[in-house]
Amino acid sequence: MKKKRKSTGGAFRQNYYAYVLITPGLLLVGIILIYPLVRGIISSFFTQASGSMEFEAFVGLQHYQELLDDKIFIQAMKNSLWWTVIIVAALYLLGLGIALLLNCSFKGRGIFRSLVLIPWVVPGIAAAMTWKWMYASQYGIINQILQYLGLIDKSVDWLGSAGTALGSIMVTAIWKDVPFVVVVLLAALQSIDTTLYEAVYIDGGNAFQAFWHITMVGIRDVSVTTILLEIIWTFNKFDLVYTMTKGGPANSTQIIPVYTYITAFNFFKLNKAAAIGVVGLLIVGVFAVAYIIYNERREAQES
Amino acid sequence: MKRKTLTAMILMTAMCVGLLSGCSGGNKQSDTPQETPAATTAATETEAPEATEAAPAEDSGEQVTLTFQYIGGTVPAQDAVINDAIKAFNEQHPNITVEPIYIDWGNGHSQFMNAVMAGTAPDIAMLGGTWCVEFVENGSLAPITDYVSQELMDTFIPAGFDVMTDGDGKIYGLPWDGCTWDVIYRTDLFEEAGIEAVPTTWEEVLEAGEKMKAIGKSLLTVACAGWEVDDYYLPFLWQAGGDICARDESGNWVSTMNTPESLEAAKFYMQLIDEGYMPAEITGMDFEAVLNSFTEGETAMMVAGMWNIGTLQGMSEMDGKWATAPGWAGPGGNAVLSYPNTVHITEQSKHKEEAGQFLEFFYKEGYYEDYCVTSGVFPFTNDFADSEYAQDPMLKPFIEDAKYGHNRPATSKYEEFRQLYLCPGVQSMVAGEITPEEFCAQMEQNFNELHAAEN
Repeated sequence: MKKKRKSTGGAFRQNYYAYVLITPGLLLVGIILIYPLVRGIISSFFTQASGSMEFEAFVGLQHYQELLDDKIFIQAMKNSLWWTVIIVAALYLLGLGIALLLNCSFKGRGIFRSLVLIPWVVPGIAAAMTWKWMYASQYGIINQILQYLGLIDKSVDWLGSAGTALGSIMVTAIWKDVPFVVVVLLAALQSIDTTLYEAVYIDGGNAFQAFWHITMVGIRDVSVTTILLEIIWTFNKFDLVYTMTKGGPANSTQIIPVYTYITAFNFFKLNKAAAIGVVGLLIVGVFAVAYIIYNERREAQES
Repeated sequence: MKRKTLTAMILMTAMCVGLLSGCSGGNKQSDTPQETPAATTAATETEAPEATEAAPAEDSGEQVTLTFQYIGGTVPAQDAVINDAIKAFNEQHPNITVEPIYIDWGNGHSQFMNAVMAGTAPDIAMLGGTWCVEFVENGSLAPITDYVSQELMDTFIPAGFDVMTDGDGKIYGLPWDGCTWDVIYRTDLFEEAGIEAVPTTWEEVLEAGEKMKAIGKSLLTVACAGWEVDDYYLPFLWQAGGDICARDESGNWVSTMNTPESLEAAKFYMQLIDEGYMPAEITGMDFEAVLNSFTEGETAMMVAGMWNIGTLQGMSEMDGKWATAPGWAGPGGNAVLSYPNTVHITEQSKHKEEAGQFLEFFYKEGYYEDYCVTSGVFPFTNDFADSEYAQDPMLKPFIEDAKYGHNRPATSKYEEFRQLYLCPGVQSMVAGEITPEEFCAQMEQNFNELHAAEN
């Protein structure tokens, strides 16, 4: 123990030039990240007068209590859970499928590998606007195609009816994010030693066994990391829903980030919005911590 | 080595601080005039309104910079009018510079609130529709009559001041550009369906709906997506003789949504949908989608904001296929959505006198009228209906119907009520998830619960 402390102190003395160098960075992070975060958490326990930055009174957990009675918050929470679970599951399955296909050798593979990236580089707002047009009930191309194929008789109001709006935006979100999963999984697939597959077949294994024991094991670490990151990003996704439906119709696409935003900046209930934000932070925090722990363990194993 | 490190450290810190101060540079413009001796403003504030024309800043020869935040983006030529006015004003008052700050509609509300909270509010601010209600309540706006003349105040349609007047009758702003939402219809489709006259009553709307249905078209389409629902639902409510809310004896807001009039409006709105006179897809249609449906010839009539006239006039393929008409009357009479945006001098302004001078100049020298006409809307003044511009056959119904104009309710919680309850409520009703009776009862409950905290 004593030895360890001594060596840490030594390390500090040895590396203090490095600490000096990172100080400005830390200061910046502290000011633009830590301070607003801490203030946001504190503000969820206070009230504030309209148009003022000053806290008025300490109210403890009152804003959190209010959330429990707030039907729209409950609905937003449910929507957010469905939104996250379905999108992340679809992203992974679809991403894996595409990555496996692109890992095969075929002519023009390079072109497809580049093409698949396109949705990911389109800015969120631009994608949302384009999809909003494609979904339009009277002149949207999606309705026209589906009618042409005879899959539907009458135009469907994709974003305008409570039954289809959330699902429709999920499709856009999946389209938008799947390239990232593909790229990451493809890189992992390419790092698998191909002789391992030969070994499976020599030992009499079949294709499924090769996939399960070699491919899936080979991309396990990357998969866990990707899924955890996608959970965090998807839960926090704001631009698509806000641009396409603003949480409507009838709150059917209301999700936590949008509800936090409108509570804060449309109704200026900053303290309640802070409380919603803290709840969202806690949920995301669980996965963020899981991500950090998993990474640390993996690094420890590797070393 | 040590000295080197120390130098590096100091340099880094300096750079870091520099970076941060750069971040806040955006709002600096109004800081400079803070050096104005408080005495100048204090002395003039006590003088009578007429005396404001004496231009205190000019007397002291001091350089003053006013910030003027306005919301635009619908018509680019608006900026030119503002810039011309600023230039002409500066020629008359060389010591007063006006800096225009342009913001868009989407961020207008939150940007102003943020500026107020941060203590960086502009000297003059334009606000949309009823936003000023909450800013009157929280004391962000200065009483306008202290800074502009009574003569100017008298030029406006008095209803324009409703939302900016507090409980004691003090007025906190001036009407900005006014807009009416009214009927635009397809003359070709009306002819095809054999409808001779544009409906003027609810009964005639239903009759026309049946005829339009016979040729496979929707009679009417109004926006009902997102948060655009209420602007197009409220006129039905008013036409039935109902309203969202009223003040009780003690001055508190209470809902009037669970009344026979409100139910009648909800039922009529739903009848239009159920009979197929209005498409149920409206819950996915914003005003642009409605306009598209209109120009595509899917719908024969829309209730739309006045700026759409300019848009349609710019589409040559629509020439001769459309016209405008006055709105129809319900059992409670005629009613349309019609109100001005507003402009204010902020309480935080250090140069309220000069801000008043600029506004007086802008309104009296014809820039106000130019601005409104350029924007395709109208100035909210008493004599405007007689002007040449107002005689345009397309604009006339909109301008004349302003006399039946209603505004959204003047409760500061209305924004929250409409976004969280009223708009989703109408959408649920259109989708058939709740009946008109349930809709009315829920709206009353939601409104009253929302206001219970403050009552």
